[in-house]
Amino acid sequence: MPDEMWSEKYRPVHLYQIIGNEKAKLTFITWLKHWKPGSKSVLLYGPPGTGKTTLVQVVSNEFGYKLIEMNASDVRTKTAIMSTAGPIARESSLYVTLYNGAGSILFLDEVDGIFGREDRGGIGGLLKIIDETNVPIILAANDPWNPKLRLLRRSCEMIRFYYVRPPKIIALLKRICQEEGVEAEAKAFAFLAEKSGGDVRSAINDLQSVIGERKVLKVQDVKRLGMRDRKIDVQEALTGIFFAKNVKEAIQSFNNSKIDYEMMLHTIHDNLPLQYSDPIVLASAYNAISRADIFFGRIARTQNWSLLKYAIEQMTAGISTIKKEKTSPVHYRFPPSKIMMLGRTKSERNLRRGICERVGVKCHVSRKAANTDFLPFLKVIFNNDTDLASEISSWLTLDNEMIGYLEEIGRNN
Amino acid sequence: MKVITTEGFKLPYLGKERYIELLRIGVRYEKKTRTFFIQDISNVDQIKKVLSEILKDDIAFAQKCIICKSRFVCEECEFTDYCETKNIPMLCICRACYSKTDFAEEYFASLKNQINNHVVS
Ligand SMILES: Nc1ncnc2c1ncn2[C@@H]1O[C@H](COP(=O)(O)OP(=O)(O)O)[C@@H](O)[C@H]1O
Ligand SMILES: [Mg+2]
Ligand SMILES: [Zn+2]
Repeated sequence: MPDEMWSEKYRPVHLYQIIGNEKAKLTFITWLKHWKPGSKSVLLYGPPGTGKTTLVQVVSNEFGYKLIEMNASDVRTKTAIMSTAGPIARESSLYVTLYNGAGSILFLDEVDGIFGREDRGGIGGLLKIIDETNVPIILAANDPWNPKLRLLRRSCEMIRFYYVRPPKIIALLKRICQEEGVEAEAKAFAFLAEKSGGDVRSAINDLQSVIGERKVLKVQDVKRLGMRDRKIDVQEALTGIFFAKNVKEAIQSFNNSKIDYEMMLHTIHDNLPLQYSDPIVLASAYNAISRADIFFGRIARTQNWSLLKYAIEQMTAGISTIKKEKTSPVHYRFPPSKIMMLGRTKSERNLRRGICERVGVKCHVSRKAANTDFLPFLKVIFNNDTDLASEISSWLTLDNEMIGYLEEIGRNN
Repeated sequence: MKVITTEGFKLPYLGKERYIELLRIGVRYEKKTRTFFIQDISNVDQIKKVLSEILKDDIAFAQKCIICKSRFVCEECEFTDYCETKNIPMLCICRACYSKTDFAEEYFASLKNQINNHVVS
């Protein structure tokens, strides 16, 4: 087991070490410099692994702010948020002068995750705090377009983060290799940048897992990670599916692609809201997707592969033939941002939980952190480095089922 | 093909409707210099569509190299196949700068400069 995750080891400590999104960085700094009571709060949004959380931490550190991060339980209800954030938001400038700093900043990360599903008064509380605060408030989210977040969006300056461009990711990977004393072929970096899809954190994680104990990194080592040249294919396939004129055409578009149906299901699921805006159309599309998922689940349990054609029909034609609104192809998102937590079989969920618990105990992290920060990493290792995998298995005391699960989910995405 | 830079471009006379449409999707007009600017790139696809209708030509947005400050279009880049932000006007690294062996150092030096200038100003 590596001593330390490189994504932590190389987490930027200075502003210039944050790559990409140069405009967003400067806009954010400007906002903070000019912030005064009555100004809008800020909402940093965009895909994961692009440096939103890091930027907040680095800026407050470099400018001498005291960063106060609130977590989900601090803000669930109005009472909770009033008692945790209230006193800080009322912090007076006298305090700031006395303590000789720039003052406090309140930071609530991943608001979409916290409020996206249910709101027990937390949003109302937060809005009140935002309205009355004496200190800057920063929010961050991957997807800020949930209707529940509408009022929050209105009270914030929205700063968008984009996926980071390949040459910049390559520059960072190169720098890390220099630090680690690893010689790497230029092509190897390009492959890693491509595979990351612009997610800096996953590029660093992949780099660490392919390097392992190596001192020289060749293209072949990286290629074993499994390339995602499927990305170009996806654009074509999804356009074909969404704009098919009939059932046959929709199925054909899927069959012509090189993407397996599991991945396609996740991909379509993720892209539906980009393609459709009418809630009724969207709802029936999601219905078709879940019907497809039920078929896949039945196939997995019964091995009755004759059901496959129904599943595929639902997932392709089922989402395109309902189309009522006029739309045109968009830039589709791929790979899917998260593996949907289908929980198809209970045991799968239990396996994941068991693994995360063991990681948590050994690495002193929460089960949630184990899930987001360690599991992706384990998947890659378990598919590429059998020696390291068996070492980790015995260290974490994983059982055979858990090992099988890690190998399998790694293969499927 | 016409290349549009974020730092200002001219347009032929527009009707009022077109003008308002442009403002709505994130284009700003400076009366004094009669120049248009792209203020907000979140609607870049729409801006592209409207501008190419106005100019009756395909358009591309210029990318700007953060290292040498030159301008270029995405078609020239070797990463277009899988770049997630293709054709969105942004700071990037041009082909010539990328081909130098020390481009990584250069990139971080440029970032450092950019931050220093901004924080001072
Ligand atoms: N723009 C970036 N520049 C340098 N490293 C980055 C960047 N974005 C992400 N990382 C790496 O990924 C890790 C996670 O980034 P994080 O700030 O949590 O992303 P986000 O909040 O956007 O999901 C960081 O510790 C860092 O190692
Ligand atoms: Mg984050
Ligand atoms: Zn250049």
